[in-house]
Amino acid sequence: MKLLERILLFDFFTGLRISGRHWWRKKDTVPYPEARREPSDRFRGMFKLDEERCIKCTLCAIECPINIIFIDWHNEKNPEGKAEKVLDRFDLDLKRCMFCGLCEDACPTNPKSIWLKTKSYELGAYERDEALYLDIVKLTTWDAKQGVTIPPAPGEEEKKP
Amino acid sequence: MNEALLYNLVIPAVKAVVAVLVVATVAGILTLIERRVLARLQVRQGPNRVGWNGVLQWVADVVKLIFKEDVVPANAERGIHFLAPLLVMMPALTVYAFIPWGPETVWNIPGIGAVKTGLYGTDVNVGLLLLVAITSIGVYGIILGGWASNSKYALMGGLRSAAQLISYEVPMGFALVAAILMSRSLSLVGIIEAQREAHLWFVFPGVVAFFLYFVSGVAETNRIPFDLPEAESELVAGFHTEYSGFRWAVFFLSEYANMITISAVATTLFLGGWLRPFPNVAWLSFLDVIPPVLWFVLKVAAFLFVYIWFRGTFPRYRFDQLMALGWKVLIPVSIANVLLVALAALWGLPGLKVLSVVLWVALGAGFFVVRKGEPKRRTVLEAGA
Repeated sequence: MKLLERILLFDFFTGLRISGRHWWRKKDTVPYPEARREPSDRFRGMFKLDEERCIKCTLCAIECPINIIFIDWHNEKNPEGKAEKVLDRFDLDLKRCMFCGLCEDACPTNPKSIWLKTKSYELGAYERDEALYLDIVKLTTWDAKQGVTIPPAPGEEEKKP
Repeated sequence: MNEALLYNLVIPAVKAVVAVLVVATVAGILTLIERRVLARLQVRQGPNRVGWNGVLQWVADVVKLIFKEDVVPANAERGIHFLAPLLVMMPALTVYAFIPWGPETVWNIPGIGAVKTGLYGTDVNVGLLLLVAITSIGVYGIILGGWASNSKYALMGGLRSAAQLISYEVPMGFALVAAILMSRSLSLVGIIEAQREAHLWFVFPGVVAFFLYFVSGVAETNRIPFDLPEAESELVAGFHTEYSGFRWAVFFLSEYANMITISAVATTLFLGGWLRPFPNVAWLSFLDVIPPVLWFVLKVAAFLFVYIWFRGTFPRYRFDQLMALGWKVLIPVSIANVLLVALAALWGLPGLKVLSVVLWVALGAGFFVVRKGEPKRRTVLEAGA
Protein backbone atom coordinates (compact mmCIF):
# COMPACT_ATOMS: atom_id res chain seq x y z
CA MET A 1 0.00 0.00 0.00
CA LYS A 2 2.81 2.40 0.88
CA LEU A 3 4.58 1.51 -2.35
CA LEU A 4 1.42 2.01 -4.37
CA GLU A 5 0.95 5.36 -2.69
CA ARG A 6 4.45 6.37 -3.61
CA ILE A 7 4.08 5.26 -7.20
CA LEU A 8 0.84 7.17 -7.58
CA LEU A 9 2.30 10.27 -5.85
CA PHE A 10 -0.62 10.21 -3.48
CA ASP A 11 0.87 12.74 -1.08
CA PHE A 12 1.70 15.03 -3.98
CA PHE A 13 -1.92 15.17 -5.05
CA THR A 14 -3.11 15.41 -1.47
CA GLY A 15 -0.93 18.47 -1.05
CA LEU A 16 -2.35 20.05 -4.17
CA ARG A 17 -5.87 19.22 -3.04
CA ILE A 18 -5.39 20.80 0.37
CA SER A 19 -3.91 24.00 -0.96
CA GLY A 20 -6.44 24.10 -3.77
CA ARG A 21 -9.28 23.94 -1.31
CA HIS A 22 -8.20 27.29 0.10
CA TRP A 23 -9.25 28.86 -3.18
CA TRP A 24 -12.82 28.91 -1.93
CA ARG A 25 -12.08 29.89 1.64
CA LYS A 26 -13.05 33.33 2.86
CA LYS A 27 -10.05 35.62 2.93
CA ASP A 28 -8.62 36.17 6.38
CA THR A 29 -7.34 39.66 5.63
CA VAL A 30 -9.37 42.76 4.82
CA PRO A 31 -8.51 45.57 2.39
CA TYR A 32 -7.69 47.88 5.26
CA PRO A 33 -8.76 51.45 4.64
CA GLU A 34 -12.01 50.35 2.99
CA ALA A 35 -12.82 47.60 5.43
CA ARG A 36 -11.84 47.63 9.06
CA ARG A 37 -11.70 44.72 11.39
CA GLU A 38 -13.52 45.14 14.70
CA PRO A 39 -11.11 44.33 17.52
CA SER A 40 -12.20 42.06 20.34
CA ASP A 41 -13.84 43.55 23.40
CA ARG A 42 -10.68 43.21 25.46
CA PHE A 43 -8.51 44.94 22.84
CA ARG A 44 -6.20 47.55 24.32
CA GLY A 45 -6.32 50.62 22.15
CA MET A 46 -6.18 54.36 22.58
CA PHE A 47 -6.58 55.92 26.03
CA LYS A 48 -9.69 57.66 27.17
CA LEU A 49 -9.98 59.74 30.31
CA ASP A 50 -13.18 60.68 32.14
CA GLU A 51 -12.38 63.83 34.05
CA GLU A 52 -15.63 63.74 36.06
CA ARG A 53 -14.89 60.33 37.48
CA CYS A 54 -11.18 60.93 38.06
CA ILE A 55 -10.31 61.60 41.71
CA LYS A 56 -6.84 62.91 40.84
CA CYS A 57 -5.16 60.34 43.05
CA THR A 58 -2.25 60.01 40.56
CA LEU A 59 -2.10 56.27 41.16
CA CYS A 60 -1.97 55.69 37.45
CA ALA A 61 1.09 57.91 37.13
CA ILE A 62 2.74 56.14 40.08
CA GLU A 63 1.95 52.72 38.70
CA CYS A 64 3.16 53.48 35.20
CA PRO A 65 6.38 51.49 34.71
CA ILE A 66 8.01 54.01 32.40
CA ASN A 67 6.54 57.18 33.91
CA ILE A 68 4.85 58.61 30.90
CA ILE A 69 1.74 59.93 32.66
CA PHE A 70 2.20 63.51 33.90
CA ILE A 71 -0.42 64.85 36.29
CA ASP A 72 -0.49 68.31 37.96
CA TRP A 73 -3.39 69.51 40.05
CA HIS A 74 -4.29 72.26 42.51
CA ASN A 75 -6.98 72.69 45.14
CA GLU A 76 -9.99 74.89 44.55
CA LYS A 77 -13.02 75.74 46.65
CA ASN A 78 -16.17 74.48 45.08
CA PRO A 79 -19.49 76.34 45.58
CA GLU A 80 -20.21 74.29 48.71
CA GLY A 81 -16.99 75.55 50.24
CA LYS A 82 -15.15 72.26 50.15
CA ALA A 83 -11.70 71.75 48.69
CA GLU A 84 -11.66 70.03 45.34
CA LYS A 85 -8.76 68.93 43.19
CA VAL A 86 -8.67 70.44 39.76
CA LEU A 87 -6.42 69.04 37.06
CA ASP A 88 -3.92 71.41 35.52
CA ARG A 89 -2.31 68.84 33.36
CA PHE A 90 -2.97 65.23 32.43
CA ASP A 91 -0.51 64.38 29.72
CA LEU A 92 0.38 61.05 28.32
CA ASP A 93 3.43 60.36 26.17
CA LEU A 94 1.70 57.90 23.89
CA LYS A 95 4.69 57.43 21.64
CA ARG A 96 6.48 55.66 24.47
CA CYS A 97 3.46 53.82 25.83
CA MET A 98 3.55 50.05 25.59
CA PHE A 99 -0.15 49.60 26.35
CA CYS A 100 0.47 47.41 29.38
CA GLY A 101 -2.71 48.61 31.00
CA LEU A 102 -1.26 48.92 34.49
CA CYS A 103 -2.66 52.45 34.83
CA GLU A 104 -6.11 51.08 34.19
CA ASP A 105 -5.57 48.38 36.81
CA ALA A 106 -4.35 50.94 39.30
CA CYS A 107 -7.32 53.26 38.92
CA PRO A 108 -9.41 52.99 42.13
CA THR A 109 -12.67 54.32 40.74
CA ASN A 110 -15.41 52.10 39.48
CA PRO A 111 -15.95 52.32 36.60
CA LYS A 112 -12.39 53.18 35.73
CA SER A 113 -11.73 56.79 34.89
CA ILE A 114 -8.79 55.96 32.63
CA TRP A 115 -9.11 53.01 30.34
CA LEU A 116 -7.55 51.59 27.19
CA LYS A 117 -10.17 49.19 25.96
CA THR A 118 -11.56 51.50 23.32
CA LYS A 119 -11.17 49.45 20.14
CA SER A 120 -9.37 52.39 18.58
CA TYR A 121 -6.07 51.35 17.08
CA GLU A 122 -5.46 54.02 14.43
CA LEU A 123 -2.90 56.02 16.34
CA GLY A 124 -0.92 57.31 13.37
CA ALA A 125 -0.10 60.99 13.03
CA TYR A 126 1.82 63.18 10.65
CA GLU A 127 3.58 65.20 13.37
CA ARG A 128 5.08 63.25 16.19
CA ASP A 129 4.03 65.74 18.83
CA GLU A 130 0.66 66.51 17.39
CA ALA A 131 -1.33 63.44 18.24
CA LEU A 132 1.00 61.24 20.19
CA TYR A 133 1.62 63.53 23.10
CA LEU A 134 -1.82 63.69 24.56
CA ASP A 135 -3.03 66.59 26.64
CA ILE A 136 -6.11 66.48 28.78
CA VAL A 137 -8.39 67.97 26.15
CA LYS A 138 -7.48 65.32 23.63
CA LEU A 139 -7.66 62.56 26.22
CA THR A 140 -11.14 63.48 27.33
CA THR A 141 -12.78 64.69 24.16
CA TRP A 142 -11.56 62.43 21.41
CA ASP A 143 -14.18 60.45 19.64
CA ALA A 144 -13.96 57.04 21.24
CA LYS A 145 -16.05 54.27 19.85
CA GLN A 146 -19.15 54.25 21.98
CA GLY A 147 -20.84 51.32 23.61
CA VAL A 148 -17.71 49.38 24.41
CA THR A 149 -18.32 47.36 27.50
CA ILE A 150 -15.45 45.78 29.30
CA PRO A 151 -16.31 42.19 30.10
CA PRO A 152 -14.53 40.51 33.00
CA ALA A 153 -11.78 38.13 32.10
CA PRO A 154 -12.88 34.52 31.90
CA GLY A 155 -13.28 33.22 35.42
CA GLU A 156 -12.89 36.65 36.97
CA GLU A 157 -15.90 38.25 38.61
CA GLU A 158 -16.42 41.99 38.61
CA LYS A 159 -15.08 43.23 41.92
CA LYS A 160 -17.50 45.31 43.95
CA PRO A 161 -16.00 48.42 45.57
CA MET B 1 2.07 43.37 -53.14
CA ASN B 2 4.97 41.24 -54.25
CA GLU B 3 4.18 37.67 -53.23
CA ALA B 4 7.73 36.75 -52.23
CA LEU B 5 8.20 39.95 -50.27
CA LEU B 6 4.91 39.44 -48.50
CA TYR B 7 5.55 35.87 -47.45
CA ASN B 8 9.24 36.16 -46.75
CA LEU B 9 9.50 39.52 -45.07
CA VAL B 10 6.27 41.26 -44.15
CA ILE B 11 4.36 38.40 -42.57
CA PRO B 12 7.30 37.04 -40.55
CA ALA B 13 8.11 40.54 -39.34
CA VAL B 14 4.53 41.15 -38.26
CA LYS B 15 4.43 37.77 -36.55
CA ALA B 16 7.70 38.40 -34.76
CA VAL B 17 6.61 41.78 -33.46
CA VAL B 18 3.23 40.46 -32.37
CA ALA B 19 4.75 37.40 -30.70
CA VAL B 20 7.32 39.39 -28.72
CA LEU B 21 4.81 42.02 -27.68
CA VAL B 22 2.19 39.48 -26.69
CA VAL B 23 4.61 37.31 -24.74
CA ALA B 24 6.21 40.25 -22.95
CA THR B 25 2.81 41.67 -22.04
CA VAL B 26 1.42 38.33 -20.94
CA ALA B 27 4.53 37.71 -18.85
CA GLY B 28 3.92 41.05 -17.17
CA ILE B 29 0.26 40.32 -16.54
CA LEU B 30 1.23 36.87 -15.32
CA THR B 31 3.14 38.40 -12.42
CA LEU B 32 -0.05 40.07 -11.29
CA ILE B 33 -2.13 36.93 -11.82
CA GLU B 34 0.42 34.91 -9.92
CA ARG B 35 0.30 37.25 -6.96
CA ARG B 36 -3.48 37.27 -6.91
CA VAL B 37 -3.81 33.50 -7.24
CA LEU B 38 -1.16 32.90 -4.60
CA ALA B 39 -2.93 35.34 -2.33
CA ARG B 40 -6.15 33.42 -2.78
CA LEU B 41 -4.48 30.13 -2.01
CA GLN B 42 -3.05 31.73 1.11
CA VAL B 43 -6.40 33.28 2.11
CA ARG B 44 -5.25 36.88 1.80
CA GLN B 45 -5.93 39.80 -0.52
CA GLY B 46 -2.97 40.22 -2.81
CA PRO B 47 -2.26 43.47 -4.67
CA ASN B 48 -5.49 45.44 -4.82
CA ARG B 49 -4.49 49.11 -4.83
CA VAL B 50 -3.42 50.19 -8.31
CA GLY B 51 -6.30 50.50 -10.70
CA TRP B 52 -9.52 48.60 -10.26
CA ASN B 53 -8.77 45.82 -7.74
CA GLY B 54 -5.10 46.10 -8.58
CA VAL B 55 -5.32 45.28 -12.28
CA LEU B 56 -2.71 47.92 -13.10
CA GLN B 57 -0.21 46.67 -10.54
CA TRP B 58 1.97 45.08 -13.19
CA VAL B 59 2.15 48.35 -15.13
CA ALA B 60 3.23 50.13 -11.98
CA ASP B 61 5.84 47.44 -11.35
CA VAL B 62 7.27 47.75 -14.84
CA VAL B 63 7.38 51.54 -14.67
CA LYS B 64 9.07 51.38 -11.29
CA LEU B 65 11.65 48.88 -12.55
CA ILE B 66 12.47 51.02 -15.59
CA PHE B 67 13.14 54.08 -13.49
CA LYS B 68 15.00 52.26 -10.76
CA GLU B 69 18.71 52.81 -10.40
CA ASP B 70 20.72 50.23 -12.30
CA VAL B 71 23.51 49.26 -9.94
CA VAL B 72 26.57 47.42 -11.19
CA PRO B 73 28.84 46.11 -8.42
CA ALA B 74 32.25 47.74 -8.32
CA ASN B 75 34.24 44.59 -9.08
CA ALA B 76 31.76 43.06 -11.46
CA GLU B 77 32.74 41.92 -14.93
CA ARG B 78 30.87 44.77 -16.56
CA GLY B 79 30.50 43.42 -20.05
CA ILE B 80 29.23 40.02 -19.08
CA HIS B 81 27.14 41.52 -16.33
CA PHE B 82 25.45 43.56 -19.02
CA LEU B 83 25.20 40.68 -21.46
CA ALA B 84 23.80 38.00 -19.13
CA PRO B 85 20.17 39.21 -18.94
CA LEU B 86 20.07 39.47 -22.72
CA LEU B 87 21.47 35.97 -23.01
CA VAL B 88 18.63 34.75 -20.81
CA MET B 89 15.92 36.71 -22.55
CA MET B 90 16.85 36.08 -26.18
CA PRO B 91 16.31 32.29 -26.14
CA ALA B 92 13.19 32.75 -24.04
CA LEU B 93 11.68 34.91 -26.76
CA THR B 94 13.25 33.14 -29.76
CA VAL B 95 11.33 29.92 -29.18
CA TYR B 96 8.11 31.76 -29.98
CA ALA B 97 9.27 31.75 -33.59
CA PHE B 98 8.03 28.19 -33.95
CA ILE B 99 5.60 27.50 -31.13
CA PRO B 100 2.30 26.95 -32.93
CA TRP B 101 -0.64 28.90 -31.54
CA GLY B 102 -3.16 28.13 -34.23
CA PRO B 103 -3.60 26.16 -37.44
CA GLU B 104 -2.90 27.39 -40.94
CA THR B 105 -5.79 29.61 -42.00
CA VAL B 106 -6.65 31.98 -44.81
CA TRP B 107 -6.80 35.60 -43.67
CA ASN B 108 -8.59 38.15 -45.82
CA ILE B 109 -6.61 41.29 -45.24
CA PRO B 110 -8.07 44.37 -46.93
CA GLY B 111 -5.71 45.84 -49.50
CA ILE B 112 -3.60 42.70 -49.78
CA GLY B 113 -6.12 39.95 -50.33
CA ALA B 114 -6.20 36.40 -49.08
CA VAL B 115 -3.10 35.41 -47.13
CA LYS B 116 -2.64 31.80 -46.15
CA THR B 117 -0.53 31.48 -43.05
CA GLY B 118 -0.47 29.69 -39.74
CA LEU B 119 -0.45 31.25 -36.31
CA TYR B 120 3.17 30.31 -35.84
CA GLY B 121 6.35 31.92 -37.00
CA THR B 122 7.43 28.98 -39.03
CA ASP B 123 6.98 25.23 -39.04
CA VAL B 124 10.48 23.93 -38.43
CA ASN B 125 10.71 20.24 -39.32
CA VAL B 126 13.09 19.61 -36.42
CA GLY B 127 11.18 22.01 -34.19
CA LEU B 128 11.46 19.98 -31.02
CA LEU B 129 15.24 19.64 -31.28
CA LEU B 130 15.58 23.32 -32.02
CA LEU B 131 13.39 24.10 -29.04
CA VAL B 132 15.50 22.04 -26.66
CA ALA B 133 18.67 23.53 -28.13
CA ILE B 134 17.50 27.11 -27.80
CA THR B 135 15.98 26.84 -24.34
CA SER B 136 19.20 25.32 -23.02
CA ILE B 137 21.12 28.44 -24.04
CA GLY B 138 19.23 30.39 -21.39
CA VAL B 139 21.17 28.78 -18.59
CA TYR B 140 24.40 30.33 -19.89
CA GLY B 141 22.93 33.70 -19.09
CA ILE B 142 22.15 32.58 -15.57
CA ILE B 143 25.61 31.12 -14.96
CA LEU B 144 27.43 34.04 -16.53
CA GLY B 145 25.25 36.55 -14.71
CA GLY B 146 25.99 34.80 -11.45
CA TRP B 147 29.70 34.68 -12.15
CA ALA B 148 30.03 38.22 -13.48
CA SER B 149 28.34 39.70 -10.42
CA ASN B 150 31.44 38.89 -8.35
CA SER B 151 29.32 37.87 -5.41
CA LYS B 152 29.41 34.51 -3.70
CA TYR B 153 25.64 34.25 -3.49
CA ALA B 154 25.23 34.96 -7.18
CA LEU B 155 27.97 32.50 -8.07
CA MET B 156 26.40 29.78 -5.95
CA GLY B 157 23.06 30.47 -7.57
CA GLY B 158 24.54 30.20 -11.03
CA LEU B 159 26.33 26.95 -10.25
CA ARG B 160 23.23 25.47 -8.71
CA SER B 161 21.32 26.46 -11.79
CA ALA B 162 23.87 24.69 -13.99
CA ALA B 163 23.72 21.49 -11.96
CA GLN B 164 19.95 21.57 -11.84
CA LEU B 165 19.56 22.27 -15.54
CA ILE B 166 21.88 19.41 -16.51
CA SER B 167 20.04 17.01 -14.21
CA TYR B 168 16.61 17.91 -15.40
CA GLU B 169 17.35 18.25 -19.10
CA VAL B 170 17.72 14.47 -19.18
CA PRO B 171 14.25 13.40 -17.98
CA MET B 172 12.80 16.25 -20.01
CA GLY B 173 14.59 14.96 -23.09
CA PHE B 174 13.32 11.45 -22.48
CA ALA B 175 9.79 12.76 -22.04
CA LEU B 176 10.15 14.52 -25.37
CA VAL B 177 11.43 11.27 -26.88
CA ALA B 178 8.25 9.58 -25.74
CA ALA B 179 6.19 12.26 -27.45
CA ILE B 180 8.26 11.95 -30.61
CA LEU B 181 7.80 8.17 -30.61
CA MET B 182 4.06 8.59 -30.37
CA SER B 183 3.77 11.24 -33.05
CA ARG B 184 6.64 10.12 -35.33
CA SER B 185 7.38 13.75 -35.99
CA LEU B 186 9.77 16.39 -34.72
CA SER B 187 7.79 19.30 -36.04
CA LEU B 188 5.51 20.90 -33.48
CA VAL B 189 2.77 21.37 -36.06
CA GLY B 190 3.29 17.77 -37.17
CA ILE B 191 2.85 16.57 -33.61
CA ILE B 192 -0.48 18.34 -33.32
CA GLU B 193 -1.58 16.95 -36.69
CA ALA B 194 -0.53 13.48 -35.55
CA GLN B 195 -2.75 13.82 -32.51
CA ARG B 196 -5.66 14.79 -34.71
CA GLU B 197 -5.11 11.86 -37.01
CA ALA B 198 -4.63 9.47 -34.11
CA HIS B 199 -7.96 10.65 -32.63
CA LEU B 200 -6.04 10.79 -29.39
CA TRP B 201 -4.34 13.37 -27.26
CA PHE B 202 -0.95 12.05 -26.31
CA VAL B 203 -1.62 12.74 -22.66
CA PHE B 204 -3.56 9.45 -22.64
CA PRO B 205 -0.80 7.06 -23.67
CA GLY B 206 1.91 9.43 -22.46
CA VAL B 207 0.62 10.42 -19.04
CA VAL B 208 3.92 9.51 -17.41
CA ALA B 209 5.92 11.44 -19.99
CA PHE B 210 3.52 14.33 -19.60
CA PHE B 211 4.02 14.43 -15.86
CA LEU B 212 7.78 14.06 -16.18
CA TYR B 213 7.91 16.81 -18.76
CA PHE B 214 5.95 19.17 -16.59
CA VAL B 215 7.95 18.46 -13.43
CA SER B 216 11.26 18.88 -15.22
CA GLY B 217 9.83 21.96 -16.88
CA VAL B 218 9.14 23.45 -13.47
CA ALA B 219 12.74 22.65 -12.55
CA GLU B 220 14.06 24.13 -15.80
CA THR B 221 12.29 27.41 -15.24
CA ASN B 222 13.68 27.62 -11.69
CA ARG B 223 10.25 27.78 -10.18
CA ILE B 224 9.16 26.71 -6.73
CA PRO B 225 9.60 23.91 -5.56
CA PHE B 226 12.78 23.80 -7.62
CA ASP B 227 13.90 27.40 -7.30
CA LEU B 228 17.21 26.50 -5.70
CA PRO B 229 19.20 28.98 -7.86
CA GLU B 230 17.32 31.87 -6.31
CA ALA B 231 16.54 30.40 -2.91
CA GLU B 232 16.11 33.56 -0.92
CA SER B 233 16.53 31.89 2.46
CA GLU B 234 19.98 30.62 1.49
CA LEU B 235 21.31 32.76 -1.36
CA VAL B 236 19.62 36.17 -0.92
CA ALA B 237 18.32 36.10 -4.50
CA GLY B 238 20.69 33.66 -6.15
CA PHE B 239 22.05 34.53 -9.56
CA HIS B 240 20.28 37.88 -9.74
CA THR B 241 21.37 39.12 -6.33
CA GLU B 242 23.49 41.88 -7.88
CA TYR B 243 20.95 42.89 -10.50
CA SER B 244 18.52 45.72 -10.10
CA GLY B 245 16.28 47.87 -12.19
CA PHE B 246 15.48 46.85 -15.69
CA ARG B 247 18.17 44.20 -15.99
CA TRP B 248 16.56 42.38 -13.10
CA ALA B 249 13.22 42.87 -14.82
CA VAL B 250 14.65 41.16 -17.89
CA PHE B 251 15.55 38.11 -15.79
CA PHE B 252 12.08 38.19 -14.35
CA LEU B 253 10.47 38.54 -17.77
CA SER B 254 12.45 35.60 -19.12
CA GLU B 255 11.42 33.42 -16.22
CA TYR B 256 7.79 34.06 -17.03
CA ALA B 257 8.35 33.74 -20.78
CA ASN B 258 9.98 30.37 -20.09
CA MET B 259 6.98 29.36 -18.03
CA ILE B 260 4.73 30.17 -20.95
CA THR B 261 7.07 28.24 -23.27
CA ILE B 262 7.02 25.13 -21.11
CA SER B 263 3.24 25.34 -20.84
CA ALA B 264 2.86 25.87 -24.58
CA VAL B 265 5.13 22.95 -25.43
CA ALA B 266 3.40 20.67 -22.93
CA THR B 267 0.10 21.69 -24.51
CA THR B 268 1.43 21.03 -27.98
CA LEU B 269 2.97 17.66 -27.22
CA PHE B 270 0.42 16.16 -24.90
CA LEU B 271 -2.81 18.14 -24.89
CA GLY B 272 -3.39 18.44 -28.61
CA GLY B 273 -2.26 22.03 -29.08
CA TRP B 274 -5.04 23.99 -30.70
CA LEU B 275 -7.34 20.96 -31.08
CA ARG B 276 -10.58 20.90 -29.18
CA PRO B 277 -11.17 17.96 -26.84
CA PHE B 278 -11.87 14.77 -28.83
CA PRO B 279 -11.36 16.42 -32.24
CA ASN B 280 -12.98 13.55 -34.12
CA VAL B 281 -16.14 13.05 -32.09
CA ALA B 282 -18.88 14.56 -34.21
CA TRP B 283 -21.43 15.36 -31.52
CA LEU B 284 -18.86 17.48 -29.70
CA SER B 285 -18.53 19.75 -32.71
CA PHE B 286 -20.41 22.52 -30.89
CA LEU B 287 -17.10 23.06 -29.10
CA ASP B 288 -15.81 24.52 -32.34
CA VAL B 289 -17.43 27.86 -31.45
CA ILE B 290 -14.25 28.44 -29.48
CA PRO B 291 -11.59 29.09 -32.13
CA PRO B 292 -8.42 26.95 -32.11
CA VAL B 293 -6.25 29.78 -30.81
CA LEU B 294 -8.49 30.15 -27.82
CA TRP B 295 -8.32 26.44 -27.11
CA PHE B 296 -4.56 26.71 -27.10
CA VAL B 297 -4.61 29.75 -24.85
CA LEU B 298 -7.03 28.06 -22.48
CA LYS B 299 -4.81 25.01 -22.14
CA VAL B 300 -1.71 27.14 -21.63
CA ALA B 301 -3.56 29.20 -19.02
CA ALA B 302 -4.52 26.01 -17.20
CA PHE B 303 -0.85 25.00 -17.15
CA LEU B 304 0.21 28.38 -15.84
CA PHE B 305 -2.38 28.07 -13.12
CA VAL B 306 -0.93 24.72 -12.13
CA TYR B 307 2.50 26.38 -12.00
CA ILE B 308 1.20 28.91 -9.52
CA TRP B 309 -0.68 26.23 -7.67
CA PHE B 310 2.60 24.32 -7.27
CA ARG B 311 4.19 27.45 -5.92
CA GLY B 312 1.41 27.86 -3.39
CA THR B 313 1.63 24.24 -2.30
CA PHE B 314 5.13 22.83 -2.13
CA PRO B 315 8.05 23.90 -0.01
CA ARG B 316 11.47 24.23 -1.63
CA TYR B 317 13.61 21.13 -2.00
CA ARG B 318 16.97 20.83 -0.36
CA PHE B 319 19.68 20.61 -2.99
CA ASP B 320 20.55 16.95 -2.35
CA GLN B 321 16.85 16.11 -2.43
CA LEU B 322 16.58 17.88 -5.75
CA MET B 323 19.49 15.89 -7.16
CA ALA B 324 18.15 12.64 -5.71
CA LEU B 325 14.75 13.27 -7.27
CA GLY B 326 16.30 14.07 -10.61
CA TRP B 327 18.82 11.24 -10.86
CA LYS B 328 17.27 8.46 -8.80
CA VAL B 329 13.61 8.88 -9.68
CA LEU B 330 12.92 10.97 -12.75
CA ILE B 331 15.64 9.60 -15.02
CA PRO B 332 14.98 5.87 -14.42
CA VAL B 333 11.24 6.43 -14.67
CA SER B 334 11.62 8.40 -17.87
CA ILE B 335 13.82 5.70 -19.44
CA ALA B 336 11.33 3.00 -18.46
CA ASN B 337 8.56 5.14 -19.87
CA VAL B 338 10.39 5.55 -23.16
CA LEU B 339 10.70 1.76 -23.39
CA LEU B 340 7.01 1.30 -22.66
CA VAL B 341 5.91 3.91 -25.17
CA ALA B 342 8.35 2.59 -27.74
CA LEU B 343 6.86 -0.90 -27.46
CA ALA B 344 3.37 0.47 -27.84
CA ALA B 345 4.40 2.71 -30.73
CA LEU B 346 6.03 -0.24 -32.44
CA TRP B 347 2.62 -1.85 -32.61
CA GLY B 348 1.25 1.38 -34.01
CA LEU B 349 -1.93 3.27 -33.23
CA PRO B 350 -3.77 0.33 -31.63
CA GLY B 351 -0.81 -0.10 -29.31
CA LEU B 352 -1.08 3.52 -28.17
CA LYS B 353 -4.78 3.09 -27.56
CA VAL B 354 -4.26 -0.08 -25.56
CA LEU B 355 -1.50 1.62 -23.61
CA SER B 356 -3.69 4.59 -22.75
CA VAL B 357 -6.57 2.37 -21.62
CA VAL B 358 -4.24 0.22 -19.52
CA LEU B 359 -2.47 3.23 -17.98
CA TRP B 360 -5.60 5.16 -17.08
CA VAL B 361 -7.46 2.13 -15.76
CA ALA B 362 -4.42 1.27 -13.66
CA LEU B 363 -4.19 4.84 -12.40
CA GLY B 364 -7.88 4.97 -11.55
CA ALA B 365 -7.81 1.59 -9.85
CA GLY B 366 -4.67 2.51 -7.94
CA PHE B 367 -6.16 5.71 -6.64
CA PHE B 368 -9.37 3.92 -5.74
CA VAL B 369 -7.46 1.28 -3.78
CA VAL B 370 -5.28 3.81 -2.01
CA ARG B 371 -8.15 6.03 -1.00
CA LYS B 372 -10.26 3.05 0.05
CA GLY B 373 -7.46 1.37 1.98
CA GLU B 374 -6.42 4.40 3.96
CA PRO B 375 -8.39 5.48 7.00
CA LYS B 376 -9.72 8.96 6.49
CA ARG B 377 -6.84 11.27 7.23
CA ARG B 378 -7.81 14.42 8.93
CA THR B 379 -5.25 17.12 8.56
CA VAL B 380 -4.94 19.89 11.08
CA LEU B 381 -6.40 22.23 8.52
CA GLU B 382 -9.46 20.11 7.92
CA ALA B 383 -10.05 19.81 11.63
CA GLY B 384 -9.75 23.57 12.02
CA ALA B 385 -11.95 24.51 9.10
